[in-house]
Formats: sequence, C-alpha cells, structure tokens
Amino acid sequence: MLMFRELDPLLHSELRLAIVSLLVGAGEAEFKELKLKTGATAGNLSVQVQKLADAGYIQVEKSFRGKYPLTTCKITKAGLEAFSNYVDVLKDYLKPKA
Amino acid sequence: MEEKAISPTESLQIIEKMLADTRNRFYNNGFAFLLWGVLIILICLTSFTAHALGHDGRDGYIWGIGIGLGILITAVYFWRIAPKTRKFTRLDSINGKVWIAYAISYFVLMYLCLHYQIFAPPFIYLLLGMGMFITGGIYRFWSLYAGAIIFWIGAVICTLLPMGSGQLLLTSVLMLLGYLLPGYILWQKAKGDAHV
Repeated sequence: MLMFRELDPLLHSELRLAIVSLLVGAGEAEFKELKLKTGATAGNLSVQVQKLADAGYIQVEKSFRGKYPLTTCKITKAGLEAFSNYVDVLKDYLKPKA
Repeated sequence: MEEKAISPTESLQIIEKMLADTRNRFYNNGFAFLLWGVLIILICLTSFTAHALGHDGRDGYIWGIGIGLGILITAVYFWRIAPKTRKFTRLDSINGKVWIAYAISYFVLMYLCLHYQIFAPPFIYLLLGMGMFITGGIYRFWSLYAGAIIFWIGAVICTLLPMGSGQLLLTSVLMLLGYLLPGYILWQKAKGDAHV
C-alpha cells in the first residue's frame, strides 16, 4: 500500500500557503500587498501572519513610512525549507498512481 | 481567501497563482540598460573622434574613466537610491548576480585578451548576448531576447570588418540596438506597470 508523507499542516491552508508562496517569489512584501493579493480581511491575515511568524517561517518587521505604520513580511530560511519540503510532498500526492 | 483545508490540486493552483503574481511585479525598470547603453556609445564616439583627430593611444584613459564612472553610478543607484523606492524580488536578485558575474567575466576576459594579444570585442559581445538572454528569460521579456541575438550576430559581423575605428562604430550600433533599445522598451513597460 502506498504511504503518503503528511503535508505540513501549517502550510496546508489556503491563506497561509498563499502568503508563503508570495513571499517565496518576492522575498518580502508589505502587509498591504499581501492583503491585496490574497483578498483576505486584515484581521484574518494578521492572525495567519502571526502563526507563520511564530513558526519562524516568516519575519515580521514593523516600521513607519512617514507618519504611517508599515508592516513588512519577509520569508526566512526555515520558511524556504518548509516550502520546499511541502512542494516535495505535494509532488507525491499529485503523481499519477501506478 | 479563508483559512480552510485544501486538496493537493488546489495547493498547486495557489502556489502557481501567487508565484505568477510576483513575476508580474515588474521592478526591473531598465535603468542599467539605459545607463550602460548611453555610456558605452559615448565612450565609443569619444574614442572614434580622438582617433579621427589623430590623438591615438588615448583609448585606455577614455574606456577606463568611462567604465569606472559607470560602475560608480550603477553601485550608487542599486545600493542607495533604488532600495528607497522599490523592493527587490528574488528574480531581481538572481538577475543582479547574472550581471555581477558578467562584470567579473569582463575584467578576466580583458586580462586574458591582453595576455594572449587577442581582439576582445567579439568575446565581449558573446558575454553580453548571454547576459541579455538570461535576463530575458528571468523577466520573460522579448526585447531582451532580441538584444541577445543582436549581440551574437554582432560578434560574427565583427570578424568581417577590418580592425580599426570601424569596430568602434559597430560597437556603438550594437549597444544602440542590442542594449539601449531593449532597455528603453523595458523602461516603457515598467512605466506602464507604474512600478518605476
């Protein structure tokens, strides 16, 4: 019987996977851009960003642009590795079964 | 988009979509192509005029000052000015490494050509063609592929021309068609995407 490795539960969610995928491609992105690209609400996005930051997959930096607060998210080395592992496991799932 | 369980196929679709979105963050505004295109053409024309006026043996100074100035402006722009207005993507970073590798190869090539007494320009065109082709692949932009082909053809044309000032005019034409024009089209595209 074919055994599948488990997909990383932290990444295997629509919004968190979208956030990490975007950051893998871009390196870093502002919170505003993440919100625009994912179409998520600010509240939900904040929660998911925090979960990813707690796991060490992304780094969140808070600063100011002029008078306004600016939140920037960056992918970390651990995040890149987790994404790479996730894609490897995903390939197993998507392989045509013999 | 919500926090919900997804199938592997949906996962793949999300990854593809988000990565495609980042590819569309067209942050390469062609600055380097415009700068170096104009600079090399000016150097060639200055060198050509110096030869025409009988001031031979000034090429080393003209090229040395010109290329030194270009490196300085490029470094200041990419390390100081550009990061203030835009964020570099991983693709930008890979592209930057391609052109740093080109610059190193250029200086090594110049040393080798001096050492073995070989005419350098056609080999420089080959390197430029390779750089343009890779950058074209990174940004998936046709004008850069066209620039690469122009440099490769130029490398062959170079062998058909006599040595001398005519080679400087060929370099000017190649830089105009293979570097400056693709850079201008890229700049127009970046301007259209409002990311300049």
